[in-house]
Amino acid sequence: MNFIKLTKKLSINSSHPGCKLKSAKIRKTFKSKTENLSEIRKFTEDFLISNRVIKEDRENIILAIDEACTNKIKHAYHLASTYDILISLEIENQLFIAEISDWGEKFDPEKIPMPDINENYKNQRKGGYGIYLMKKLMDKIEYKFSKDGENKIILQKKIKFEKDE
Amino acid sequence: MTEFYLKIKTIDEINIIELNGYLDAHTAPQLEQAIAKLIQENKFKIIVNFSQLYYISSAGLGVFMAFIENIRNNGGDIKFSSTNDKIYNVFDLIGFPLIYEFYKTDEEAINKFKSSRV
Repeated sequence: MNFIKLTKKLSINSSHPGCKLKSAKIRKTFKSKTENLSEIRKFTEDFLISNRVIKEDRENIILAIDEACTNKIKHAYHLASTYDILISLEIENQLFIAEISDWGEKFDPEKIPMPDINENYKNQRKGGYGIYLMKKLMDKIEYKFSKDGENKIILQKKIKFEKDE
Repeated sequence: MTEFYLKIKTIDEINIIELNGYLDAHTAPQLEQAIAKLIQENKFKIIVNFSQLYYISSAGLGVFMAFIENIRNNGGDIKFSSTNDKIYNVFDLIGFPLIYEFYKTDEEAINKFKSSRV
């Protein structure tokens, strides 16, 4: 218990020189259009690079966030381009957390079937891989729906950092 | 803006689509249109070269699933060549190697098309 308390205290002071524990947070709102996906990936990559997250984790996280935002643009906002997607990225010690919110149509993840490549081949189904990929790429996915209409997906992944030179 | 473009060249009636840049939900329609046009022209033998593709999301994967059955029913195929590790890993997560043939080079894929000709 003492260790947990100590960890929390130290993480607040992570800007202190010599402190190995990381704590960083950033947030930004993007309009709901697919042409912003490249900017969203860049925003995510810049955050991960500046916090020295290793390349493999960076690539997996960037793809998962792209998939989450693509789903919101297509399914929450039905490709209407004037709505907001709020992205919040956080690193707390070894854990990366992304919270991505929309205020569009509520999306029920239970209704999306897990893709079966052979079934999809027969049915010429071209979608449904996004959620599956997110589950494969991240450690944990949660959905939160609040009464004011905010639909949030929370993606978590334990990450590794580049070693000091 | 997302950077993506594609080039198509034809060798012995086999159509090679070279993808460049980033293939995501914004750029996937360009690939979709290109393959739809080949089908319209009864060109069913397609190789997709990934050597210059840096990124693919599920929107890009979906394009191949949308056309593959139609293409095979017409005696053709979509074969993949020159996938780098990053791109191949995404294909592998979805199970694409169960459905599609992957080759190291265009030449290998061309030879496979030629050897399976009736």
